[in-house]
Amino acid sequence: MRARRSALSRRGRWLRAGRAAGAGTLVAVLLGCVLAAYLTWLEMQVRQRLADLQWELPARVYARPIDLYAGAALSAADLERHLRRAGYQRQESIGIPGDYARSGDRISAYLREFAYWDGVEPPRLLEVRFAGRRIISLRDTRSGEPAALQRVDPPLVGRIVPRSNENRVFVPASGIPPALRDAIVAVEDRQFFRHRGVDLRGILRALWVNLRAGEVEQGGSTLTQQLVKNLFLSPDRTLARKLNEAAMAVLVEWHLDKEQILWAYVNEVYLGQQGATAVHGFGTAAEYYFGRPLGELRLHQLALLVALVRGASHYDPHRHPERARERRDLVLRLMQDGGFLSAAEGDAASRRGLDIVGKPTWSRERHPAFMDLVRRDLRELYSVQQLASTGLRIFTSLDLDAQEAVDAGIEQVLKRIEARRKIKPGSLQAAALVIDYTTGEVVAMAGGRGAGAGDFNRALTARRPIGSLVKPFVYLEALGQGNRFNLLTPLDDSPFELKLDDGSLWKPENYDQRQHGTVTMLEALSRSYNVATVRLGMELGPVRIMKLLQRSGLRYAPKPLPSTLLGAIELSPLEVGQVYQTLANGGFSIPLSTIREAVAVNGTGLTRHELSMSQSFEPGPAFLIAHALAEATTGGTGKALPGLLGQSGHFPGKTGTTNDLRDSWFAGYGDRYLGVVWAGLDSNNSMGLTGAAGAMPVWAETMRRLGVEPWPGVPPPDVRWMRASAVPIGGACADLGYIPYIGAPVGVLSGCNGG
Amino acid sequence: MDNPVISGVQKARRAFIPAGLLLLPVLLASCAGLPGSSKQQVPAEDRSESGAGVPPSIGPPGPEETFPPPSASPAAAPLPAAAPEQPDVAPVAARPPAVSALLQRADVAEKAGKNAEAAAELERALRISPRDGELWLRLGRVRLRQRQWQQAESTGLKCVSLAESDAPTRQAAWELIGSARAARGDAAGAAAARRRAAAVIP
Repeated sequence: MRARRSALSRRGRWLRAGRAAGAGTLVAVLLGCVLAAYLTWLEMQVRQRLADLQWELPARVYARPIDLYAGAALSAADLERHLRRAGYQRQESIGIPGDYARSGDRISAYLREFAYWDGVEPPRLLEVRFAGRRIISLRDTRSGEPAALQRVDPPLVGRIVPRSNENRVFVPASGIPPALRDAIVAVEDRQFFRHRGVDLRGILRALWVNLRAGEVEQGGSTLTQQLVKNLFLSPDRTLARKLNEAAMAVLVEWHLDKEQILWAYVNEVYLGQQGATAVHGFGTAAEYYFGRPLGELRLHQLALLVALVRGASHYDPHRHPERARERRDLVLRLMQDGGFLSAAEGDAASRRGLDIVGKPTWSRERHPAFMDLVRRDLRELYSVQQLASTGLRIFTSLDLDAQEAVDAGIEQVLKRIEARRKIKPGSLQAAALVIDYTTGEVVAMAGGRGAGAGDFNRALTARRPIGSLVKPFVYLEALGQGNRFNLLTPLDDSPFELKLDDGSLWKPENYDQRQHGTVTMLEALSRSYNVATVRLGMELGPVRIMKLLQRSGLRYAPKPLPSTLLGAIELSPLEVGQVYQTLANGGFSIPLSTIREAVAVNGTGLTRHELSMSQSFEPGPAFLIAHALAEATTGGTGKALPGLLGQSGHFPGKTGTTNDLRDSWFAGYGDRYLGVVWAGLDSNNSMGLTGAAGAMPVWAETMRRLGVEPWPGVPPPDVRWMRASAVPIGGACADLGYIPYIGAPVGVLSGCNGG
Repeated sequence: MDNPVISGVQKARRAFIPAGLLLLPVLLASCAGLPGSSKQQVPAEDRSESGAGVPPSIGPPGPEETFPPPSASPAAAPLPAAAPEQPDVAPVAARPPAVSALLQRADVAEKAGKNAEAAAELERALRISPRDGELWLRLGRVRLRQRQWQQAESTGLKCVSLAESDAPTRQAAWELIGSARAARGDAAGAAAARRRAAAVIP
């Protein structure tokens, strides 16, 4: 422009006088050309933008759905909790999908339509009866028929948003509720179906209304102009922008009909901010503010969303509930004025509260550790671009009950320990995960505690020496060698020295600094004797133990140094979880997973995680180890466990403690869930806690909250129970109780047999 | 490196163990017929009882020793072995109707040749009843049809490892393992599996 102007002035200087009129014409023509070129350019832009009016849709991550069936271990409170997390609302009487009602041990729920990876589950009105912690019956209310099995849609727990940080729930044209359409038109653009993009009368009327009201009740922009502003322009309010906007609005109306404009508007308009992520469109806003799909919102809720169009931050219902409510009621009044509502309907809606939900379940901070793991698993399946834009729906194994139990267990126990031991509050850290060891699914994970728990996922990335957690694998290696060893094989726990490769001498010692003479394998493992373990491990060869760990799911075999026999191996809680999964599952190793299925938004492109396993060792030796570990948590190093858990069933478990009490570990399991807990300080200083004093109470609190069932202890077919006795020299036959045993007994002492 | 805490009872026990070990092997007496054994969970083929002193045997398991119920542990037994102290473990429970429904769906999918779908239904059933041996057997068969030999074998082995699998299920699972091994070219392994199948006593 500047060049053009200076060219004109130069010409002016040359041609001097009396040519003003001719120059004026020339300028007008030139300006006309420029304007035409500009409009053509705008038109091109509009056409292009509208042609790819496809929004980037973030991947949506769901927790597990629950299966309802007669006999399921689920209480009415459990189901109610799940329903609320999935955005169901309790009502006096059930009207629409997404409602439920409860009276005592009976819950009626109107389950919403939900597209699972294997098909769409239609809406269903269901009545569930409970007796304590069990479902006793399940009935389809409409047909009156009992239902064998019913899925309840899973809570949304996360999103993987595109780089544009847009976070959108797409609403198809057919999915726009009529009341929403009415409200938008009534409040934002009454002449919408009449004007051609710009509404001069509307601008004048808005001016008049606002002057009378003394505040901005109505804007003069048409819906089309608002859409243009959202699609193309930055939010500054210069006159040039306004003119641009008006021109583009007219152009948009050339290309799209009114229904298409409304549909684009519903999906595009800005309705709030969640941290760094913008809330665009009514579908997204419905989930963000109400935790429910747009189609399930009632009039007063839709009115609130429309109220936010004017200024999502100014009318933010979380921060300014009064303001938001006034604006919402204004929306309802304008709907009445416009003839969209009867006075009775409007008044009834005005009497309702805001009904918004708190922090949404899928907000970033809720399950950061588990989401980390999900993202890691997804990276093996999808590109970043696919994840963030194609609207994948990802079904995970996350169990929110387990997740809450882990988070609360960590917080409560660490607080208690800090208070009792006068440790600075908030300094102790812990990481934990819960695994369904029969399927290999990770059901919950905590990467730390307190503020910033999301920053550093200790469960996934913090590698610490595992201490005595390695011992079961030393004994497992022994028991796997045919009938050379059994649980009563004597081991030597007397002190010895080992010459290491570098020439130095290593003298392993027991934690209690004592020697125990000759002990059985059962005793040595359940009481975690170091010396006997090292002697056994050296006899077997550390390399065999390390290879066993690798077979059990570790990605590599650690260097087989003698010190590894006492756990000088640095592993993350997740890696510990993998090898203990194999042990708990009787030798069948299943790669840990979080993703069950992933489906593209149009229902195609299914990826399903298949259950796959490999046998790492025989079930018999695994059972013997489990027996010894159950002994450890009743009479050995973890004997405080039954008291902490508040139940006496058997939970095989192993404590681990590293040098100078820097790391406290516990890994243990019940009938399905394996829990691994690490506790310590981020500084790696000593915090003075053994495995039994730090990690084990966290484990117990978590499992207590989860209400876990004990390990069933049913031996595999090749294991028998033997009544074992021992006879001290010159003493009477003493009963050792039942010991699991593989194969036939190696011998019998007749002197004791008769007793 | 843990802190071993020794209770009074265990201290007392420790006192004689070393001596008893001198007389090892420790007595291992069969526990057949102890109180409470009628309630135990006994796999159907394990009814026969043999006394103590059975010589070591290698190879396919013959008639097995009895399994004392965990609850059979007399309070007097000084060694707190895990299982014996346990209350009655769940008896082989009747299959929940939900699992039966999923099995039927798997049937339908299999008949339609939809192996992946059948596997998915079976996996869903296994999340409900992970110790139902028949579910593992069925899943193993699907894997065989999917020509996933290694998975078919592992899944079969999982089935036979469960005490909850009854004799016909276990026999069928050994057959399945044999087929999977044969398909993979492991003739010796296949033969061994078929011997195990033949040795299962119904």
